[in-house]
Amino acid sequence: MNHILYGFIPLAFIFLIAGLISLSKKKNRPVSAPRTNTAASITETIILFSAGCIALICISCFNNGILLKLRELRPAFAMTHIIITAIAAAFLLSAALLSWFGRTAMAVILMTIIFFSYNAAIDKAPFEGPGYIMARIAPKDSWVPVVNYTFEINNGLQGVEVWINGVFLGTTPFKMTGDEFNKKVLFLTEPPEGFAKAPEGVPQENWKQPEGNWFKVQIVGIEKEENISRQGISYLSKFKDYYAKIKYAGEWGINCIGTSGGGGDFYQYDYEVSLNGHFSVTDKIEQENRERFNKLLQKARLADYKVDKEWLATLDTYGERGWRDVQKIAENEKELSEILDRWVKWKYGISDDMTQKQAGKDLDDICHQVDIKRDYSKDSFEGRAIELVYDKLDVEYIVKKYEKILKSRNQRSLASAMVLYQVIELWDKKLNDEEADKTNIIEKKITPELIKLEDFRKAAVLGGPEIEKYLLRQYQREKRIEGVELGYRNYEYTMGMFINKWLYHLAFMKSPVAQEFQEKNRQEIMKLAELIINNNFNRERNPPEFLFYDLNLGEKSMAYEYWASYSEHVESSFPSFWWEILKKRWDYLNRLGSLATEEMYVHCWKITKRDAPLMGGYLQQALIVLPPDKRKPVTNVIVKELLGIANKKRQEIGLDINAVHYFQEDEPVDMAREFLVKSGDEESFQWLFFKYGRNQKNYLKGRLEQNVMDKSTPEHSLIQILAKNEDSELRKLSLEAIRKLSTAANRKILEKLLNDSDEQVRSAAKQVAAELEEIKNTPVSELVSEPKGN
Amino acid sequence: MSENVIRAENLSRDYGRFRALDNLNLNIPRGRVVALLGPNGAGKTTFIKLLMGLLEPTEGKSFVLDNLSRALPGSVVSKIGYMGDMDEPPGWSTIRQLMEIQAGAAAKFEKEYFVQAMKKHELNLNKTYSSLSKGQKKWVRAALVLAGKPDVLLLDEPVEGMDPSARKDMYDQLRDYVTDTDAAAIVATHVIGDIERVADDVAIINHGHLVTYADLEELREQVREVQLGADEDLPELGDEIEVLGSKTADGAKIVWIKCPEKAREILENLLGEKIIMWTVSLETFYLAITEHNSNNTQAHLKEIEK
Amino acid sequence: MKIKMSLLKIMFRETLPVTLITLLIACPYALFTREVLNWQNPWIAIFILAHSIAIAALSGRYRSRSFAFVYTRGFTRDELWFHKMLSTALSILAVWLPVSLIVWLPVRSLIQDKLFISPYFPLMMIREASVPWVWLGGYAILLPLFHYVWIRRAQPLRGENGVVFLAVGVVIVIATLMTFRWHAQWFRILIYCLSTVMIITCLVAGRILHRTLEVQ
Repeated sequence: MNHILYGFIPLAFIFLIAGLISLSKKKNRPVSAPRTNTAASITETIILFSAGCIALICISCFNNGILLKLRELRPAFAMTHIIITAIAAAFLLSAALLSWFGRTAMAVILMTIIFFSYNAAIDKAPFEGPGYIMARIAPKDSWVPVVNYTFEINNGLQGVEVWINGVFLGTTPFKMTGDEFNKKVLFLTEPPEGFAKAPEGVPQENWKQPEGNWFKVQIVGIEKEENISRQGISYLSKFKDYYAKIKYAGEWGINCIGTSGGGGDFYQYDYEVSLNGHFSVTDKIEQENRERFNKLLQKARLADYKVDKEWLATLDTYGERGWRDVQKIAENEKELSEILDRWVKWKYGISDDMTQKQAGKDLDDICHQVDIKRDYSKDSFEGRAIELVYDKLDVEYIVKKYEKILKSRNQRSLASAMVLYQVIELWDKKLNDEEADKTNIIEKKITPELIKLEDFRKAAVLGGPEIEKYLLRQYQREKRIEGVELGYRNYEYTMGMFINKWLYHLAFMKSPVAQEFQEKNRQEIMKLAELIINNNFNRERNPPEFLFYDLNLGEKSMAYEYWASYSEHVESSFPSFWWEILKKRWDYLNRLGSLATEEMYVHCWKITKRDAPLMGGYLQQALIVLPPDKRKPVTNVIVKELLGIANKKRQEIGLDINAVHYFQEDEPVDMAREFLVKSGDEESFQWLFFKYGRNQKNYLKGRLEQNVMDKSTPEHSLIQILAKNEDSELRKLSLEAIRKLSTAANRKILEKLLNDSDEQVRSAAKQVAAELEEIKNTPVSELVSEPKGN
Repeated sequence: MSENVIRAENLSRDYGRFRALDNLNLNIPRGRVVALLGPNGAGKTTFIKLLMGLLEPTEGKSFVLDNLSRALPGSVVSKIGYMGDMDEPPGWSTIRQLMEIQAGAAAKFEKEYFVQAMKKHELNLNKTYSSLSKGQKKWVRAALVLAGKPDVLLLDEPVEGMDPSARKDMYDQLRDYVTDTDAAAIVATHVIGDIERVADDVAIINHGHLVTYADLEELREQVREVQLGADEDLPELGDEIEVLGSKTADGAKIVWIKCPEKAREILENLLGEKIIMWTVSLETFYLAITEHNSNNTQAHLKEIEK
Repeated sequence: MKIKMSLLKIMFRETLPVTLITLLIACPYALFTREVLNWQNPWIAIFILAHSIAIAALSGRYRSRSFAFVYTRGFTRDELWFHKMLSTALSILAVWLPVSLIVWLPVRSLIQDKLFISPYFPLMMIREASVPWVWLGGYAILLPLFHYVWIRRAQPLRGENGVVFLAVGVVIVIATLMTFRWHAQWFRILIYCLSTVMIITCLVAGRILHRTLEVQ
């Protein structure tokens, strides 16, 4: 019940009292007068019955619409509800009949009793246990929520036999109810025979079980729990330990793990049990797929990224995984991004000369796809398709379509609504870029709709005079920055804080009007930023984006002014290790852009209290944060300082500072140098080579192998450094990188190495060249992805 | 006698357990003015309301212009002129508005007649009803009724609050209207002296019963007041002579009797000269009837008769 | 049926005080209330309820002198009922139309926007545009019901208080419905159908029973 009804209750009572008072009114009718006549009987019966029907439906809806979900209940429980409802309906009819015979007052009273009783009788939420009446009339345990299990192996591998706790359950894909599961599978308090524990120190889930071993899997189920609620019992989701085995093509899975999850509404829970393991058959297929995939990419590199439709169709067979993998590689290999675009364009037929109708069809296809998947993200295949197709669409058509979605309750929650919002956002940006001063159609039509739906975040992103005026006026009405006293209309509950919603959105907005507001209310915005940074829920101490909006003001900008406070605050309140604190500081400086000087970065290094051992790995993690132009100078300063410390230590224990030997204090120095080497810094490489190249060549090679070989896309400059190194071992090492990354630039290095002075290098180079030639000549039809199982 | 435009057949009406009108039978022909007399609470107003169809009879039926009162069609209802005791136009309405309302209801409404009537009583049409005196209000309402040229007039205390000359004037107009149009009128009133002058018939109701319904002329002819000594009783009078009532005052007994023309001689012969007997007025007759009834002296009268 | 202006006037005049009072309440409310109007607004619902009760009560004073006067002028009962309904519609219109025009024209929006510097206006004007229709819908349900209640109570029948209970019940059901934020499409259609049945039943029965009501 909400406040509206509370308003009506006293009114209804007044109304009722008025009726009762009328009872005492002077009788002027003959005592022999009939109670009713035909017209009154019919009318009052119809009104009573109609109002009764509405009330009955209301009661059902108040109780989670149980009558609409009978199929989800156990048959006995559903039947109990049907019987109760039928009885209520019968009483409803009886009440209506009473009215027919002129006993309307009695009929209304009877109906009220029926509704109260019905409301008390029908079940509200089975997970809370049955109600008092239900517990006494429904067959025992019929109220227990229904559970359905779906068993899945390796994301859809079919034909896998599944055993749980020693019982064979079925072959994938299969489903079973919770009752069937519980009946078949006995819960074991002790692991079954053949369950081997992981060696000490290795987490059980990380341990590669030998073939045929049981592995532990937590399966979620509904458990009865005694408590003080309702009838003393309730039903909760609980995970219990079971022991599983999986078998595919006559071979037990190894290295298995299992999870379960899912959910449901009040009456039915659908859980998915996902078991993942390795079978030599599928692993082989997976390995082969991976090799084919790599070859396919190599083929593109060898063709200088000029791929045809056939190649794209082959890549398409790798599906979503292929998309994600290429996307990851493309972070360091920009040419692949173009290929991704071509893939998307090929798939949806996107071209520069496509018609609006075709673009509309693409949009509909994408919307349909994401609605099936119930998932959409901007960086997905569909997301990129939208980025490529949006400007081919008629903006007015899109605006109308999105407006319709916003006005419809049902469609707003669909994944396709997110797709359309992205189109709208892209169009808004495009229109703003074209005519910044003009209020565009999106700002005119969509922003107001979003405001009406109180989706201020989206409205603020799209911008426009409507949202600006709205937020500014709201802020005029309520200027307090924080506190629950702001009231639910005015506060934004974020990170456990109640902050002024209007200020919050205005702070994030980017428009001349918002900028003017931000300038005028600089102190309030800085206070807001401070609240966000210092908030305990903001564990990462991330500064809000709006703090960096006015960097054009230089040293007078908010972020620059706040830097000292931030730096100090991070040290005192960020509960982490020194390298994390250092990273936070450098992150902040990165966001300051050109305002952050080299000295500021170095200063951060100097003021960060290193209260944990200075390990090179951690230092490298911090150094990655440095912007490319600051990496070398800042790292050099750090190296110099660390080297000074190491040498001092050497001197303290009487060691020669020029001697090359293992010395623990050198480790962070080497790692810092290595960090620069990874970026292709020749000076650092020479330094390392000078240090280890002669006496500890294998150590150096090992380090480089680890850095170069394990990296799918090593820096070209590093390959170049290795290729021209005087040591043939290192030159050979560069060939390994070329084998993986056969770009045009690397192929040139390969050509040089084919004529290398060293026979072994020449031979290795020839082998790499032959391999690349073979890949070049492999038809793409041989590189399609094969399904993992039948 | 012409057709009966008003008919009541075993008409009864209860209020709760109280019977306001009991088994009333009455037929009123055209061209008659009927004085409906009775003490307060006798059932006069109830009877008129029942005729008008405002109330549902508990038993029996009533007809006006041959139509059941509770289902009067539009063509009939507009032919009834009603002036109730308890109804009153809203105070804010002007005389003109009232005229318009009545004109909208009664098909034969003559505006000119109404305007002339108002002029005669120096009443401005724009005056509001609440600003009128009690007598003026009665004039306005009477004029509304008469201007509608009804075939049946049901008037409940139409002259209450009027001065004697106005009462006379009002009743004269009523008499003239009934005579001219051959309409029928029922006038329920307490002011017997005025109505006696214009009424053709008298109907007396007491305790819900119709005690008397007679031609006023005949009544004057047939009713006598007989004075006896305190200890004297009337001798046996026979079936033709009806004892209407009696009272004892100042050492004498007064008995009202009703006898037809022929019986009067018998009576004179029977009683002889020692008994004083004279004719009575309607008022005296009414009082005799109502007091007789109110004392519930039927049994007593039988004793007297004995 | 022919409209008789004089009768309509007198009937309309009967409810005039309440029409003026409600107009004096509704117009300032529509002009000055800061909240965005919506169909779940309890104050509007209470207003509709009170207004409907007042109109039905004033149009149903069958024991009053002025009603006895009107009912004995020679009009048929059907004529009287028709004009009662017509005058009710006029009384409602006299309040509803100015309020609706305030919302639609948009006087309200202008005042909220310019005078009160409300953030919601003129933006929410469109959203409020449907509120007068819901408002009218409230009258459409309640007035036939309450007219029926008063007509039924004036019948020469006993059990006249049962109909009061019935009206209270219906009001509580409507109030309960208002608390629902979500309605399935079929539920909405069912409610519309049942409401229409109730309205038509009340009107037809009101007309029939009006022929036999007692004027005292």
